[in-house]
Amino acid sequence: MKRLMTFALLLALAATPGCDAGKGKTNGSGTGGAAATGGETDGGGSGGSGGVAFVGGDGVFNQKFITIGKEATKGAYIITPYVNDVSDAAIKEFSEKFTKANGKEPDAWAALTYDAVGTYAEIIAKVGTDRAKIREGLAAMKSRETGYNGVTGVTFFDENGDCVKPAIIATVEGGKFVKAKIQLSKAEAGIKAKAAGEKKEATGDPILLGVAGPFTGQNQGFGEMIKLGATLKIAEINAHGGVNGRPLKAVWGDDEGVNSKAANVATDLANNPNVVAIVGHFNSTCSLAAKPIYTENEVAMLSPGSTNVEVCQGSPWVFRNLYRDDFQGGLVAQFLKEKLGKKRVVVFFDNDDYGAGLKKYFVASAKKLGLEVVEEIPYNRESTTDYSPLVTKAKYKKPDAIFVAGLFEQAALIARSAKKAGLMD
Amino acid sequence: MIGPLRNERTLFSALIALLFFLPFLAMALGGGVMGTVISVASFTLIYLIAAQALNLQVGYTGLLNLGLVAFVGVGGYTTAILLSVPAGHTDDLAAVRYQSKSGRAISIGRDGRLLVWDVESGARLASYATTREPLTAMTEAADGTVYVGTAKGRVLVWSATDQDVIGEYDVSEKKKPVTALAVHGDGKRLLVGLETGKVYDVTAADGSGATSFQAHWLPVACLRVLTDGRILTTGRDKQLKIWPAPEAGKGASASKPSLAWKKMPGRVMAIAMTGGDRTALLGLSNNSVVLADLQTQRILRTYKHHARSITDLALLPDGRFLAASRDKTVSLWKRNEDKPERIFEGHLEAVRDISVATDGKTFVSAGEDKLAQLWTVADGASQRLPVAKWALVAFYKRVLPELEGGTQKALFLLDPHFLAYMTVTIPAMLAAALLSLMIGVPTLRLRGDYFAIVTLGFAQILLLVVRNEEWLTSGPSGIKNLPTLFSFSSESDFALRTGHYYLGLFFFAISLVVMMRLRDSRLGRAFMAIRDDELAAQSNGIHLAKYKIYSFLVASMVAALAGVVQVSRLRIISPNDLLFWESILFLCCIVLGGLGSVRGAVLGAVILGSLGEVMRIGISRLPPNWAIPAQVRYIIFGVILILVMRFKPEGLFPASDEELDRGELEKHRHRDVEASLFRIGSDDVGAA
Amino acid sequence: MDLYKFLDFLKDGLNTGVLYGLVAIGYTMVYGIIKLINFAHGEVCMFGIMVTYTLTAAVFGGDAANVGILPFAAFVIVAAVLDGGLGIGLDYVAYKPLRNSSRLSALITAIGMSLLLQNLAVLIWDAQPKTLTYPGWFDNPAFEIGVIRITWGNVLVWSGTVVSMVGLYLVVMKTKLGTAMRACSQNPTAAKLMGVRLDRVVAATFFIGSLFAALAGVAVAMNKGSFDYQIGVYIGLVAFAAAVLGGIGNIPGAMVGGLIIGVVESMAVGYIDLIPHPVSLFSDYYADLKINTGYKEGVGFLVLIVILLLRPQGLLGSKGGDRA
Repeated sequence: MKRLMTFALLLALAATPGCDAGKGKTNGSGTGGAAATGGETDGGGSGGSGGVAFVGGDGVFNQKFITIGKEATKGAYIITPYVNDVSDAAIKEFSEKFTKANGKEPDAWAALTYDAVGTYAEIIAKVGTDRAKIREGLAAMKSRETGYNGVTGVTFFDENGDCVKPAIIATVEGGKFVKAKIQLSKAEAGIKAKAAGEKKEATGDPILLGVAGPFTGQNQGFGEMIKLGATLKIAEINAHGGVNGRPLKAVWGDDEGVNSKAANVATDLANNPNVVAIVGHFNSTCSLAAKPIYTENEVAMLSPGSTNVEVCQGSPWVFRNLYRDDFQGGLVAQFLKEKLGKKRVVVFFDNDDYGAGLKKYFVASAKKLGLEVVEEIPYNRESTTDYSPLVTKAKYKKPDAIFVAGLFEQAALIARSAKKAGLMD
Repeated sequence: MIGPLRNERTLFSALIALLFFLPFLAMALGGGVMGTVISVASFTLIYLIAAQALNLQVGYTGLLNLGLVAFVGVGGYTTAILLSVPAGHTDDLAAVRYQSKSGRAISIGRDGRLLVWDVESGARLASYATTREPLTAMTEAADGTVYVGTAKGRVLVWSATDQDVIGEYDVSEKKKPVTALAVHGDGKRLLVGLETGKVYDVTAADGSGATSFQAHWLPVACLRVLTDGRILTTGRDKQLKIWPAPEAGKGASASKPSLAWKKMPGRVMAIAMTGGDRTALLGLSNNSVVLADLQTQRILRTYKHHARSITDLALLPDGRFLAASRDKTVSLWKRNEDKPERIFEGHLEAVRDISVATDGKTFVSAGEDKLAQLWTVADGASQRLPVAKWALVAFYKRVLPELEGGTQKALFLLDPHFLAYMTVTIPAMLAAALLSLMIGVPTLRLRGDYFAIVTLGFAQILLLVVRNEEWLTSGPSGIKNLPTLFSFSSESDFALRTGHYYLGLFFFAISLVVMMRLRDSRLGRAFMAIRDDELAAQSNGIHLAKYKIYSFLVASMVAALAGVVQVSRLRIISPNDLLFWESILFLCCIVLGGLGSVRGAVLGAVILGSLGEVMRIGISRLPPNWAIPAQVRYIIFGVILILVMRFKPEGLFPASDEELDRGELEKHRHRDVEASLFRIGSDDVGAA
Repeated sequence: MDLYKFLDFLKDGLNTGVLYGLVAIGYTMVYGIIKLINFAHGEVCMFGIMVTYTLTAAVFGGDAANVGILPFAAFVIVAAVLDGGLGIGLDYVAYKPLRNSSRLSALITAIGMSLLLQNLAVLIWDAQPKTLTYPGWFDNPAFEIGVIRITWGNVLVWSGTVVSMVGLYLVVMKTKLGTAMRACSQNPTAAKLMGVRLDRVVAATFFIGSLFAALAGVAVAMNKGSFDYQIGVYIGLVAFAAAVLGGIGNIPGAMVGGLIIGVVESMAVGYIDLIPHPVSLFSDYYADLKINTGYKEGVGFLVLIVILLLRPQGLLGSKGGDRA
């Protein structure tokens, strides 16, 4: 019963007609890719610059956004760090492999987890399996040159352990994500990922990597993707001789998205002397609950999902490979105000730690830039059965832009309801 | 009758003793296992305590409460809120002034608060709060009066002698944020730079006699009054201008600057005048500090070190200078060297402002990490102002004598952190009791399923409250960075890992005693009479409302203890600790164990509390090719519930007949009293 | 303009309200006869959606343009009937053996079933959000009254609800089965003695309740736009509240309760920020606090609590019946 009617998320990006021109050459010079894909002379575009613009953050960047939202998502803008260049071969390959292995398209968290495992593998290959040395290896990834080059761009960290990645604006056209004509800055071209090397079997004792996330409970949809992303990367590494000849193996830690269980999982993983490092957790609150435990036990954690500003603060052992809320909130406000020239924006936000955090920093930046936030509308992801009343509320505020600080599914539903209610046409 | 109960007491004593020695046992098994065992055990203790509370409601009183997690949550949230009350600011600091003669520091922040500190002890001397109007700029007159600008274009006048705000006035009608302030040489008039680029010149005391001029077209960044009365302004437009001195007694209103330096290499964010009015150190947004000749508009020297914009500069009496930067550090420079002499690291976020003591030996910095810090120039040592992030802990630190390592651990009951936790336990229980009244009183008339859905509804509403009332509960991201249970936790592994466990064990023991005492008391028997048959109980003279409320009060206070343990364990609390599912799980614990039986509640909680964790760990340890999906755990869970209910519907460890008969006993007692008084169905006499 | 706004929210509220009501009918019917809160009812509803999804996706793929109304309706009916079967199976496996034990053990069994079904659904269909394929013109506006848009989907759901309510009325009031149901609801023992086969009646009740749940579930999934394995959790909760609000055991009451909760939730979104925040009245420091629309889901419960305080037996419930 697998639906194959949708193309893989990133495959879709790669197959965009506009990008074909740049294909094959984009990895050469610094900004070649950007020039080839985003000619600003083209004008017109699909977004309907006069109508109500729809903007989402990195949580929306998922093919499912288009599958669920259908025509309503046309022309929506998504700000995301995950793709340096839409024609990157590594991304296409990942997406194809993932879809083939699992029968569904990867999402941002699958890709981030895939990269987090890859980051660790690269470090372990260099410094061995000592926990402290692995942390030093992460901390040493300070610039684009020393960072890990994966499918979500180059991962490197600032002194906090927060990740620094350039942002690109994607838009929806013809049922696919394509690179938008309007960009915040000239994007840097993707650096080609290293070839995986020849196939050989990994022998010897396995190296254990803890992978923690909500594999059951309310957020298990994300946990599932995290698990699949990690599984795929581990299988790939092991098929190519493992790490220094030893196979990599995941120890799954199901935190159920609940703080107290995250603490149990963290304790269990950290106290397992064979676990060399942790990928996780997903929820920011879980990461925060687990942080002191990993810090005390001196094991590094690299979160592929926690965006709260405080996650990496105050502990040298905590890292993440995605945006902080404040960074992204600022980008969105800047994009709406300066690039789209919008004045009145309605913010819908998911009332969880991701959505509320992103909204908070978006509103603060909007205020600074003189962008008026006419309404902030929270929703509860797990209990909202109809988004129409929320959109009706927005309708009467007469916004010229909608920003959804939330995840792809709800963003798609809001877009859909907005179209149904006649707010966006 | 005495027999089985005595056995039970022995059983529980043995259980508590076993749990007491569990960490030692686990330790004997080797390091790795200990952490996991303690973690799972302390997790289970929370269930144990909550199950006792729920058993009181459902098992004893027959009130099908589906919202017990609300009590646990309120207990936890009250604990967290009270513990997290900051001794300092709740938002980024904007500026700080160090009045070294009086040993005081004044800090202002985006939280709209002005705080006065005793620098030596870190104690807070005074505070003033606006209506959440961020405070943005501050300057000090020679007499110690401090002027503070707000984000809504107002100026507050803070008197050092009165320790209070003695005046406040609007500067511009448009309510644009004040970005810079400076006092004229005579101290009578005040210059106010605004975000609009305008500079107002007003009477310092009351804001009258305002004049203004458009200094820049972007926000004003710095304002200085030179020794000859001329006014120096810099703006975000990368320009530096000097304006002619106003006539005596009048405000400045020049239309043309006497000097304009238009092509600065960056925005000038900070100024320190060095050679009279001629040369100045300028802190730029391009991360460097430059020594500039203002007359000739030449840059004499560039000091490069920082990675982010410079935010403030300060001169030391000996000619060296300090530069604060958004890169979280402060640097100390000799003017003739290209490398900084010392870097002061310690702020967690950008440093916004620095203020040096008159003797130049110490300075105070303010950061966007909500902290002010006192630094010694000579060795870079720093001390946080406030001494502690948490007001309550700070209070205990001040009043308690400081103890040395060994004694500190021996007298752990007097530890400031521990005392803070114990102190907030009482309001946590009271808050839960208050909530229980809010739920209990309206639901008095409701029975069975109606009661169940209302309690569930209250718990859902509470969940929405903690999510939405961000000012109180920090919203969905939860209350973070709470203190550890002991101040020496960071040094003692054992205290860190087992402190919360023993706290939980202690509270569990209390809850057990309460439940057993209740069961054997008249109160408990009245509960059970209500459970068995409300009508019969009432007609036997048991005051339904009163006893139902009692049941709520006791249960909620016991449940609140579980919340306290939870917070001490995780040091964070967020709405996902209050999910509806938890209440259901508590209910499953007691029904599985045997409703109304203390043993049953203990057994049920041990099984259901730890089953999930044990299965989780078990599955994660299986060979990977078994590939058991995590969901299987919950399926097993569901099947166990169904099977137990199918084959042992009274629970695994049902209440004994004599436990069940207690209600009957109480009814008889009441009936006897009633009969002797010839009163039927009226107020409860027996409980008097 | 203001009236339009009000009507707009009213429309949204009625739209979700009828669906809550339909799900609540299942709760209330089962309760009326065997006094069981079927906690797994929300999951039954979810299975109905999942089956519909599987059928439509298998035949039409994801393309809404291909979907004809008749095959779609056929699939929904097939799914609803299958779901009715699930309801009967649930009763047979889990609840029937417990007819004579305490109601609390039946409740816990229902909770266990709910867990089991939810996690089974994840294993069968995975945890990702899915979207139902339905005829595309459902989303086209049927009428436009000023700025208010009523789509064909809305019209269909409303008329479908009316039809099914009338159908249910006829079944309950005019058929032999309905008479037996009412008899069992009033006095199961007496009904049994009169030759009513209780187990059959209960099975029929489960069948009808689950059928309604599936139909309502499909409508919710269309209305919302997506669904996943946990869509039943909140619907089940609200439907439970709606059933109690209307007076549990009372079929029209369930619909009235659903409508009230739906409308109140929608109105809360529209107008809740007009209510001053209690704290802002007392503190200058928090003068600009507002009550935000995040309380939407709580307002339904608040109304429930208030109504139960005034009428402890629910709006249409009969007084004196012991629901303990």
